[in-house]
Order: sequence, then structure tokens, then C-alpha cells
Amino acid sequence: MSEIYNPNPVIFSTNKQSKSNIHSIWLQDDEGYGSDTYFDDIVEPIDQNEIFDLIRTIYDPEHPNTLEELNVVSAPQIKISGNHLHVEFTPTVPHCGMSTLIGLSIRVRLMRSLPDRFKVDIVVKPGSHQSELAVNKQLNDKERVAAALENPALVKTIEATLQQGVV
Amino acid sequence: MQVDLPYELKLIATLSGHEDRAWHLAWNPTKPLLASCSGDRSVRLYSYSPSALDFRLAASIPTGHTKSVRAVAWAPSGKTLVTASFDANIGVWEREEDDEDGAGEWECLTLLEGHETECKSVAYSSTGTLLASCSRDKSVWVWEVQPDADFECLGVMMEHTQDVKCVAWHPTEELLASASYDDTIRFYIDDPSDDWYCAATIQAHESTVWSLAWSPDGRFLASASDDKTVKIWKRTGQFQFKEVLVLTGHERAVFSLAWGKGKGGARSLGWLASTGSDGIIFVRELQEAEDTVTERLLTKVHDAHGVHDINTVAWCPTTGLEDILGSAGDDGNCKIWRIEPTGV
Amino acid sequence: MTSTTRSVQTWMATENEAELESLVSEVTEGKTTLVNIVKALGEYLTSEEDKIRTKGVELLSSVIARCPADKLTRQAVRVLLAFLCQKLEDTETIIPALKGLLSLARTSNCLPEDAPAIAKALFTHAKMNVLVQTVRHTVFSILDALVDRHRQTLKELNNEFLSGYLRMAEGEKDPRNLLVAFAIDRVLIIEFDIKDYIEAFFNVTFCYFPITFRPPPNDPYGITTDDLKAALRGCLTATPEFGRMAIPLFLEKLTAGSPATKRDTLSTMSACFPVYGSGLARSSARELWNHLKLEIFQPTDNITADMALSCTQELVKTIYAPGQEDQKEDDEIEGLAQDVCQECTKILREPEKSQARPAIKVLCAFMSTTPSVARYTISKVVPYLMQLFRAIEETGARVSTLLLLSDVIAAARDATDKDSTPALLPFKDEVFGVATTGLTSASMRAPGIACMLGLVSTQGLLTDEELGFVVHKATEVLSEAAQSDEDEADILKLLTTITGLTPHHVVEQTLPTLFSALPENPPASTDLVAHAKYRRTLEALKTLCQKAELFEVFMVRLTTRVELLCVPASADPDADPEARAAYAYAILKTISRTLAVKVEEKHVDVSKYIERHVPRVFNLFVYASVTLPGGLHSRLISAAAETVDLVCQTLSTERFQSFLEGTFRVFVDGDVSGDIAQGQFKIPAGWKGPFADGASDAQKSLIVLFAGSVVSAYKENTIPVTSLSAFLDQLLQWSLQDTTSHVQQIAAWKIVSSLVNKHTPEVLEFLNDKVAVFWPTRFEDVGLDADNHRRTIGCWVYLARALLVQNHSLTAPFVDRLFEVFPRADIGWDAAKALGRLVDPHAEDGAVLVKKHRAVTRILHVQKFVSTVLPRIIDGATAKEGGEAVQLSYLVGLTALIRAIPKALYASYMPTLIPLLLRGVDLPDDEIRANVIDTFLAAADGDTPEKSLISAHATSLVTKMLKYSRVVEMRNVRVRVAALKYLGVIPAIVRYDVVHPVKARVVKELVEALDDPKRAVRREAVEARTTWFKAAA
Repeated sequence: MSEIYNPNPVIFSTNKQSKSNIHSIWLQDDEGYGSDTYFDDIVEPIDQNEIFDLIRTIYDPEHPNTLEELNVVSAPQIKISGNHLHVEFTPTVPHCGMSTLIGLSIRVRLMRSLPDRFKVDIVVKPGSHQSELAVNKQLNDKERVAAALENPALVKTIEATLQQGVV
Repeated sequence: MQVDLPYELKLIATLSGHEDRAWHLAWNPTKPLLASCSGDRSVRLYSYSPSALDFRLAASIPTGHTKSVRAVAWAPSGKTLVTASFDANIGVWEREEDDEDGAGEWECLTLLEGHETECKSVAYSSTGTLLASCSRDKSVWVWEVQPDADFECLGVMMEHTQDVKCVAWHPTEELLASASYDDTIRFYIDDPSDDWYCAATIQAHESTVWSLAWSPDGRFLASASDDKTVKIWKRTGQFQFKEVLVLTGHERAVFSLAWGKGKGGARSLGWLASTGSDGIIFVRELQEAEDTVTERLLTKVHDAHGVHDINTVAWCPTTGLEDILGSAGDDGNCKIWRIEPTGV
Repeated sequence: MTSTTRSVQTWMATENEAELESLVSEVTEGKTTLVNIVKALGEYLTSEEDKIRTKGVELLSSVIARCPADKLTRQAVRVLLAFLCQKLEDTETIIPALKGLLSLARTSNCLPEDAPAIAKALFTHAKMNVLVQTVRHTVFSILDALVDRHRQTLKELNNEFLSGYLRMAEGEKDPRNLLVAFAIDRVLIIEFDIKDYIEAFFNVTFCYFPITFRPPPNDPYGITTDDLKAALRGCLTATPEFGRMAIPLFLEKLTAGSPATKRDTLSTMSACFPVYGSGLARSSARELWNHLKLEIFQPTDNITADMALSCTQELVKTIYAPGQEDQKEDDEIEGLAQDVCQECTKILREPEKSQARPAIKVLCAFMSTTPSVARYTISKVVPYLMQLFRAIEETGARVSTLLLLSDVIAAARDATDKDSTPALLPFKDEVFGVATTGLTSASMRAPGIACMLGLVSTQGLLTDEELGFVVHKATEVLSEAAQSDEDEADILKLLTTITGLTPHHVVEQTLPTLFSALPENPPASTDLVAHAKYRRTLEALKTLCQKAELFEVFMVRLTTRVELLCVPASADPDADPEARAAYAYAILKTISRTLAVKVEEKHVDVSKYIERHVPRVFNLFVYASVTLPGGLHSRLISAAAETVDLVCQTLSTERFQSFLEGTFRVFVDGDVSGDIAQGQFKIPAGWKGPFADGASDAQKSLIVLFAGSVVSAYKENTIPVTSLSAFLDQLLQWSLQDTTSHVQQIAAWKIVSSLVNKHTPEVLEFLNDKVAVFWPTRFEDVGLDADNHRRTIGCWVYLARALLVQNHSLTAPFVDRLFEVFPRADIGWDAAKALGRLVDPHAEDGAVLVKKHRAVTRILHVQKFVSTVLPRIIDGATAKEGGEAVQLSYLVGLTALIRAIPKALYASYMPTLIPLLLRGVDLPDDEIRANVIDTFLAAADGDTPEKSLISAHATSLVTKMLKYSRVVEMRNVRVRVAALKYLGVIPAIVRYDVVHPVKARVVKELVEALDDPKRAVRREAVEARTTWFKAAA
């Protein structure tokens, strides 16, 4: 990356999630297993937070920060209805040339981590990028994505942004 | 499956075997042979008996393409098969000794190079004398088919401003149509005194035009788009096209169209099948009324390939089998369907 | 002809070791002298034949090398030195001559006056460029010896020696020689007068910087890169004279170099600055900073950035080192510190931007340089941040500003030492104000707390009132946090920090608030949120009430609350018993968890609760067991038992003795007259203890409480019963016949196990009877069904463990009994699984026979057990006779055992185990299956494709794991998770050619697990699939 699109991005402190358990009126015993949720048949559907956990740790191609730290992605920007998943992300600067790459990283992480039934649309936050439409169209053009993922150089870059594996 | 529809799609065969998504399939015009291609870079050939429709794998060609094989097309002779790949090349294939059961070795006679980036579609003209190809490099190429698998480039049209997704020849004339990521459809002909040139352009859709299909009689063109619609264009002059019908119903991008004779009556313009990212296959019968066209929904099937996208639909060209449809999906499968009157 | 001459001649002819030996011993015994040997060698040493001459000197040098120091008389040494020096001229004899010289140079009889001659001889005749490494090494060693022993005389030669040496040292490449050369260099540079040779020495040392040498794999000389770096650094830091030339070179390396070079350069510079002195530091400060800045603000990586930071610190320290003539008052600090401060504060204008981070790091670093710079920096940064905070409206930026401020506060705190006045004092009120603003506004809380933490933890900064104020605010925040379900960890950290300084504010303000947040009556069992809420409050109390003063209040209030909940004043009809129990349980559990931490940290105040807490607990539960139908919920009893257990762990032997007697009176004799069960409630008649005939379930269940008070007794304590064996027998019978729940049985067995373990010699009779009579009779008794037998096996494990953990010889017969029943269809597998529980640290009784319960244990008992049992199981699992069924029992035993023991204990058996385990995976029992997979996981740790044992089975394992990862195939979540975990490690431990062919399939089939109903499974599926995508790519 010769040109740095945003040399000095804003860093946000990542927020912790509430840890209080409200599955049972009984205080959970220290053992991890055994304690309910483990053997019952309760279905835990894939939700906003689970998706967020998948993409929050992706690294920004330009900075040693995660997309969460840069507020590029956030749980509220993820919408699930049935098998349709809509992920919105916010480039750090409106001229960010990395946006397509970021979007692609998100798509790859989700392609690898979600069941096939999901139809995933990835878009930049409306008004957050100067060539919003172009970026969106590209990110959701199946043929282009498929071709991009056959480009070794590009895949290498993407793998780098996914380095940390998943949480 | 809605019962109130006049026809239903009966699944005849599921052809699995590709290790990656199946992008495209093509029926051989002269022999009972079906070709499919895939992200796994291979082409699979299936033979069948027209009566029993029992599909058997006849050959699997590794192709040697270094990236996905996006499209396949047969020459009208049925002898030659061409493959369009993301590696920017076009492969030209023929079977060594042409024994009928289709078991012969397939060899690559030549590799057409010229496109700079992914090649996305190829098509033979009705006479088989011309081959057209298109690519993300925004160009459409027309090649002259010469003896001994020799191809000469007659023209390179750089008209589109974005990827060219699909090329389609008029069923009888040497008129070529191309569809693009730039939302337009363009038409090309050979100027006898000069080169091939773009004779007309239509701002067809609100988003990428994925697929084109001429009506069997060549008087209409159908286009499918990322904007979830399918449009029917009537050819009102040599290069004039008029939008006469918009078909809605798809819930996501429409990737593929196929327009066959079908088994409708005399006034029928034939059967139009459409499919896409929503995994639905629509089959409609189109009829002409004055200067417009009316649609009749014959059948509609959801999740035709389970939860997966469907990339291609194609009608079997063989006489008597006009009601046989093939589809290729992200599940790596090709499926063969028969359109039957409901409850038969 | 003398024997000397003979030996010499023979050796020259044969090079026979023996001759050499005899020569040496002759010299040693004084039968001959070295000079004689030289004489004897005479003709050879002058021979025309090169070979002969070489050998001649070789012999001489070898003898010198071996003969005792006292034989190397002054006279001999002088002669030999002269002789050998002269032999240096001859290219054939130089090599052995050098060897000889080295031996001599190291002897005491080699005197200062010899040194110049030797040195000069070397300089003239030793042509380093033509000598091989080993010989060059000898030369350096000789010089080293001379410099080491005869420095003075060499100093007199000064220039002649220096130039001579430099010629030799130049162009040396071998690390072994360089180590010696660097050592010499340093001495020369420091002690000799090198004014004419500075450049020469600079070149001969700095040309090696940075050290890029990588030791070859398994290098015999074991020279590390660090050895060389250290040795070289010794030279670079040897004189200030290098400074002028060094700085540009450093900066060049810093800009051009790889990360490794950068780091080396940075730490070298840090070492050099003080030596090169403040003058140079000051004059090149700007240039240095411009380079260091890059490494800090556009870091290659964090480590390098930090090193650049500390390098900057060294620079500043050097510049402003105390006692510099031009020391200024703080407020007029000039030069670098001033410039950098301004530069960085400028950057802070955009506090929310990423560059602000390094900027603040630099400023914080300045605080631990020199006091004056620290004061100066604070005086510039703090006011700036204050004014910035007031100036900006945008919350995000204000948050960032506070964060930066918190860094400054912390840095200021750590910079000033305990007793000196806090550097922050001048700005206290302002900073305190800002921190409070942050603390009290929801949007700026986190950084606000961070600031406060810094302030309160700064010695002697805040007054007691101010601390009180902080506690007041923090308490408000805490209750808000509870409302809005925020994370309260930070605020609690703040409060606990304050309790460390002075607890009373928290006692007076925070605790009442928290206690009043605990509802009088339990919320409805449908109201999950309300239950979660009080659990949060209890969690907060637990974190807060570690210190004695707070813990006391905590215990009083919570124990009372438990009593009120367990024995409601008015037994209102529409009460919600489960909710009530859940609430009480949460409180008891909080008490025990808090106690656990305190016991862990050896707080002395715990033991007094044997009087304050334990009796109340006994009183309450005994009372309830008599008066309340069904007594109290079993979870409450075990939670209460935990608290008793924990307190007991802190008792002295004496105290425990009296406590035991009391306890036995209550539970065994059913006598509650003693003070051991005094408290709130008047216990009515009807309490006879759990063992009494006709004891109710409720009363029987109190065995758990009894167990809690016995298991941690000292082995020195006497158990207050007439016959221990008899008592144990009763207990055992009771557990098998009279108990009404598994919990009761376990409790009884825990007691048995603990007592047997601590009093084995006393109960041998009991034990022998069990092996010889008890077991056989029960298993022959046709009246007993499989459940009875399971129970027998159950208590057996507890008995056997009690012996096993002390390597007791009786363990064997106990274990044999288990093996005996392997073939039985009804309970064979149960017996087999018991083998695992015998050594399983997580088994139900695992907690009993441990140190904190004062159990008698020998180290390596598990090893001992496994070494005898494992081979036996393996044989059984493979032996054809006995048939399939028995084999399976053994297999079950194997999986159970392996799961329970550390990998090291079975690693050596792995080749044999793998095929067995592969069979185990398919046994129709999810517990076993999960165990087996866990075993594979454990075995995988540290495994590599090169030596992996499972390569051969990888493909079939992959298939199995894929199968068990699918919810349609496998209902058990633990198995699905384990299978996916293992699937995830396979690519790392199996060769590429094995992984690659299955990759596509795995990736494809894992899609199903991605859609598992359980989140835990999906998470593993994602992990596994990601690894496989990367694998063989």
C-alpha cells in the first residue's frame, strides 16, 4: 500500500459486554460444563452479536487496529432477518481506497464462518463514502468477488487482515 | 409448490460432482450431451438417452484453466465446445475420435488469448462461423471460425464502461448483443465496408445486466438484471428496441435467462425461464398482443437448489424435449427438470 | 642414551601417546627437565625436513602444555620463550610454537619483562591473513593473556603495541576469535593511551556493528548472538571519543536497518549516550530525536517503538544529567526536552487521533528521566490537557483527553518515589475536578475512573476527605451501573484500591448502599432479571469485602439475610420456595467464594469465624432440618458446607480438636446442647443427627455439613469415637443402606476417604476386611442388583483413592477387585470407568484428598499407579482370550484412565494406544467418546507433522470427527465441541500430503456445524474451518 488513505485515524476504546447471566434464577456453579445451556435442547440462534464477534477482530489493512477499534463495524450496523444478513460498515475517511478491501475481508470472514443459507449483503454506511454506490455494487457482485478470491496477491492481503483468527 | 399454477417443475436428475459452485451449463445442439463448468476449473459432460433421460457422466475434463471456468458453449455443429475462464482465456475443445457414446478423449485444440481479465461469456453465431466473447476488461471480441480450429479476431469493441457479463447472438442474423455491469445492453454488427461496430445502446436497467436471451423467432430480447427485474424488449427496427414488458417476482439479483420454444400453442412466443440469487426458478409463457407482450406464469419453484444461488438455466434444444430445463447452482449441482401440466 | 632421549626418539618415530606420557611424568618426577627435552630434540629442531621440525616443536609444546606449573621454572620459561619465539619465524614450526607460547604466557613464571618480546615476535611473524582460525585463536589468546597479566609493561610500549595489535585484529571474521578480540579491544581502549588510534579502534570495532551473526544449528562452540553483541557493546561504550563518529553510523543503521538491526541500534545507543556524555548528546539531540521520533510515531512494531522510547529517555537523562554546569531551574528547561514537549503537546490537539497515543507515551516517558525534566513536562502537559478538556465539546474527544490525562497521572505517580512530594501536587485540585467530571458523567466514565485510579493510588496526594468524596461519587456510579446493567469492574477496582488505603469510607458509604440494594424478599422465580440484579450486587460485595474490616460487616449482614430467607418469619402461603432458595444460595455461595479468596491469600481474620459463622450455620440448618418439612434445599446445604470447610482450613490443630469434638456431638450423638450449634434459633427436640434410626431425609442430608467440618482435620487430631474402624464401618453401611440421595452417599464417602487417608495404620483391620470380605460378599449376593453394585464401586473408589494418594501397598488389592469384575456384563464398564476416577483430579472426591484438606499424599503417586495399571489395561484391551466383551471393558478403562492423567504418563505408550483409542471413539457411550477425543487433543499438544503418530489414521479421524461434529449424528454437545476442537488441530500435526487431499471435503462438510443450534459448537466450527482454509493453502 503505497498511499496511506488515513494516516491518523480516530481510535475508539472497545466496549465490554455485560456479563450478568439471566438464563436461570440459580447462581451458576463455577464449572463451565454441566451448567445448563450445555445439554438441553435450547436452540441459540445466530444473532447480531455473534456476527459482530466474527468481524470485530478483522484488522484494518492500513493500521494495526481492528475494525472494532476504528468503529468501522459495530453490532447495531448488523441486521439479520431470516436467512438474509445485511452488514453495514463505516470507512474511516470518505475517500478511503481500502473500503472495498475491508468489505471483501468482511465477506470472506462471513463466507467461511456462516452457514450457506445466509444471503449476505455488505454495504458502506450511507453517506460515509464518496463513491458509495460503486463500492457497494462491487462488494455485492458475485462474479467479481469470486474472481477476486482467485487472485493470490489479493487473498494474501485479505488473509493478513484476518490473521487473528476468530475470537 | 403452488397448486394453482398450470404447470409444475418435476426434478428428473441431480448431477453432482463439481467440487465448487457450478457456474454454467450448455446442451449440445446435435447430440444427447450436456456440458457443465465450475469454480473447480473442470468441465463435466453428461450423456443421456432422449427417451429415458438417464444422465450418465460421459467425461470430466480438468481443462487446465488456471481459474474458474465461467461459461461453456457448443458450436451449432455440436462438434466443438468452448470454455470461458476467469484466467482470461478461451479454450476450444473437440473429441479425438468421435464415437457416439461420448466416451472419447477431449483435447484442447487451441487457447484463444487476448482478453486482459476474466472472460465471462462466449457464444457461437447461428451459422457457427462467428464466435463472440466478453470480459471484465470491458471489451467484446468477435472471432471468425476458420478450419483447423483456427480463429481470427475480426473486431474488439470497447464500448462498455464496465465488465461485460454476457454476449448473445441473434438466432438467425449476425447481430450480437452484450450485457454489462454498466447497466446497458449494446448491439453490434459487421459493417461490410468496415469493421464490427456498436450500432445501438439501451440504458436497460437500474443495475448490472446479468443475462440476455433472444426469443426463438428473434423478434424479442429478454434481459435479466441485478435490479431483480426481467425486461422484454421488442425489436421495432433494425436497431430499435422497445421495452414492452417488465417481469417482477425475483427477490434478489436475476442471474440467468433461457428462452425456448416450449410446448405452448401457435401464438406462444415460447417459454422463458429465469433464475438467480434467490434460488427461485420462474417459467413463464409469453404471448404477443398487438404491440405488447403478455406473460403467463406457468410455474415457479423455490429453493430449486436448496439454500443456494442458481447461476444458470438452459432449455434443451432437442425437438421433442422443449420442456426439459437444466439448472446450475452454487451447491455444485446441475439439475434437470421437466415442465409438466400440474397433476399429470 | 638417557630415557629422555629414547622417549623423544621413539615419539618422533611413532607419535606414540605413551612416550609423551612418560616424558611428562619424567619431568613431573624431576627425572628430567624441559631444557633436557629441548636438547634431546636438538637435531630434529634443526632438521632439513619440514615435517620433522614441526613434530619436534609439537612434542615440546605438548609436554609444556601437560607438565605441572611448578616444573616451569623461571629459568626454563625464559629459555623456552626465547626458543619458541624464534621458532615463530619458521612457517613450519609457527603453529606448534604458538601452542607452546600460549601455555607459557599463562604461567606465573612468565614475567612482565617477557611480554614485550613475545608481543613483538607475534607482531612480526604471525601473519594473521595466512593463519587458520584455530591458530589465529591461539594468537589472540596469547595476546589476551599478556594484556591480562602484563598490562603495565605493554602500556610502556603503547603505540608500538597498539599498532601491532590493530594490524592483527583487522579483518578478523570468526566469532570465536572476535569474542577474544573484543575483550582485548575494550581493555586497550580504556586503559591505553589511544589518542593516535581512535579512528583505528573505531574502525576495528564499529565495522562489526550491528552483529548479524547467526549461530549455526547445534553449533559446538555455543557462541550466541548475544555473547557477541554484549562483547562488542563493551567496546562501543568504552570511550566518549567514539561519540562523534558513532552517532551518524547509528542513525544510518536505524533508518536503513531491519527491525532486528533497529532494536540492536536502539539499545546500543541507550548504552552509549551516558558514556559519550551530555555535550555530544546535547549537540546531536535534534538529529537523534528526528530519527527516534519516526520509530515512535510510525513504529515498525511495538517492541521497537518501546525501545525507541527508552532510548529517548536515556538521551534526555544524559542531556539533563544532574551536575551539568548549565543546569537550569525547572521552568526554564531548554533544548530537547522543551522542543519535544512542545512538539508532542501540539499533537495532543487532536486527542482522539491515533498519533496522540505515541505523543503521550513520549511525554510520560519524560517523567521518569530526571526530576527537573519530569517537573517541567508535568507543568506543560497537565495544564494543556486541562485547558483542552474545557475547550472541546465533542464527547469522543473529551473521552480521549481524559484517557491521555490518566496516562499522565499514572506516569507521574510511578515517576516520583514514595516519600518525596507528588509531582502532581501543584495541579491536584484542577485534575481532581476534571477526573470527577469524568467519573460522574456516563459517557466519560471509563477514562474518568482511570484518572481517579491514578490519583488515589498516588502516595500522599489526596486527603482523607477527598478520598471520602471519591467513594461517595463512586458509590453513586456503582448503583447507577447496577440499574443500567453496565460493566462495573472498573468502578469496583477504584473502590477496592481505596479500601487498601483506608477502608472506613467504603464501610460507611458503599456497603450500606449495596446491602440496601439486596431485596428483603426473593424476587419471583419468573423474574430472571431481578435475580440477575442481586447476583451482581453480591458479586460487587465479594470484590469489595476482602479486607478484614469490610469482611466482618459483610459476614454479619449476609449471614443474617440467609437466616431470614431460610426461616421466614411468616410462612406466607403463596411463597415461592425455589426463588427463596436460589436467593439464599446465591448469598451463601458469595460468602464461600469470598472466603475462598481470603483463605487463598492467607488472611488471618478467617479463623475467628469458627466461633462467629460456623455455629450459626449449624444452628440454622439443624433447626431447619427439624422444623421445616423437607429441610433446606440440598444446594444450600452444600454451599453452607463449603463455608464451614473453608473456615476449618485455617484452624490450628488444637482448635480443630475441640471443634471436632463439638461437631461429633452434634452430628453423631445428636446433642446440640454445646455452643457449637448456638445461634438465632432454639432447636426443638427431635434432632438425633443423620445417622440415628428414623432420621428424616432432611436430617440425613446434613451429613454434607458434617463432611464439610471433618475433611480438613489434621491427621494428628484424634477422632472422638471409641473405635475408628467401627465408626467407618457404620458410616459405610449407612451410606449403602440408609441414604436417600447420591449427595448423601458422596458426603459419607468423603468422610470415609479422608479418615482412612489420615489414619490408615489405625484402620488396617477395617481395610483388610473390605478387600477380603466386604467386596466378595456384596458381589456374590444375588439379592443385590446392578445399582447396588454401582454403589459398592462408588465407595470403593473413595477407599482406594485414600490409599493410592499415599502410595500405600494396600492400593493394589483394592484395584485388583475392580479388575475382577471387568468381565461382568452388568457392571463391567462401571468398574472400568472407576479406574479413571481413581486418579482423576476432577472426580467428585478430587477436592477431598488434597493439601488444603491436609490429606496425606506422596508425590508421584499417580505416576506409580499408572506405570503398573496402564500396561495391564493395554494387555487386557488387546488380549484375544476373554473375548470381545472383556476387551471392551478394558478399552473403557483405558479411555477413562488416560483422560484423567497428564500426557507425559502415557506419551510413551501412544503408538500402542492410538489404534485402541480409535476403537474407543466408536463405543456407544458419549462420555467415553468425549474422553477419547479429549485424549487425542491432549496428545496433539506439542505434536508435529514430522513425528505425529496419527498421520496414518488422520483420514479416518477426520471422517469420524466430521461425523461427531454434526448435530444430527451426535446429540451430546460436549462431543460435538471436542470433535471440532480436534478437527481444528489436525492440520497442525499432520503432514501436508495427508491434509491436502481431505481439505476440500472438510471445508465443505464443516458448513453443517456452522449452523449448529449451540453457539459454543458454532464457535469451534468457525475456528476449525478457518484453520482448514489456511491449512495446505
